[in-house]
Amino acid sequence: MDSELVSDSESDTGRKGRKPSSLTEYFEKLCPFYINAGMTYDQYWYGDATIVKAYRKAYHMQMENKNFYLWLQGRYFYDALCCVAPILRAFSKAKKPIAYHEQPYELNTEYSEVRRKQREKESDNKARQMMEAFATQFNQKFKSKKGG
Amino acid sequence: MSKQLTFVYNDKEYTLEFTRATVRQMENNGFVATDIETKPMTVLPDLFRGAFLAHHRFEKAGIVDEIYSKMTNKPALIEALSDMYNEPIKALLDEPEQGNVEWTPNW
Repeated sequence: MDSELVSDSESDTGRKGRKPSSLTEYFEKLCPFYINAGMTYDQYWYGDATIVKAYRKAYHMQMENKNFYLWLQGRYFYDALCCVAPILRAFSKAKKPIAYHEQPYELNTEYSEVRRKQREKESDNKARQMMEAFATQFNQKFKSKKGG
Repeated sequence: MSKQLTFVYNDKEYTLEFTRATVRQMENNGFVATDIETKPMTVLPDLFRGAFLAHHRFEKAGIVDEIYSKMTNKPALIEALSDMYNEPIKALLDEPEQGNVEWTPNW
């Protein structure tokens, strides 16, 4: 509790008639948490005492990831709802739902970097083709003007 | 890697360490860690015996006591063993990512 003073912790030593809390009690209380985090019973009780730090950190990272994926799923669901919403509205004139994303959201990962470069290349190719087509057309016009 | 104390006695290599299981076993046998502050010299032999449980569970008590009697620098030994004994609990406590309490030693 926030209001507890450091001196209040002495009450746990039995001065107020309470049984002193032992390390064993604390270990036993936390054992299920670490088993849930992926440790084995033997690792927790008989293994290197400091491994728990890595498991605790990994558990928190997993929770962060899980939280992110759930949020992402919510966003996709929201987008899907927004796409179909126009046709679900009463008296709506819309006959077709809005098209859903062609690609998933771009995440800041190594794979997304590859995808970004690929898209850039595709876009460059398209621009080059358009430029070439324009140049050919212009040249033809120029030739015909010169000839005529 | 947890803290360990190693030495060789009669050509045998010993590794002293505490795990959560050995701390539990010691507490079940009546060991009270807080007594280290009030009566360190009484607690030290028990603490020393307990440190054998992790890797040398079946070592004879007579040999352990014999080793203990030959250990030098007992005050430093108390400190080292208390550090080792506290490690299983310290590892379970969250370390603050960034603290804001500054401290200054007086030596």
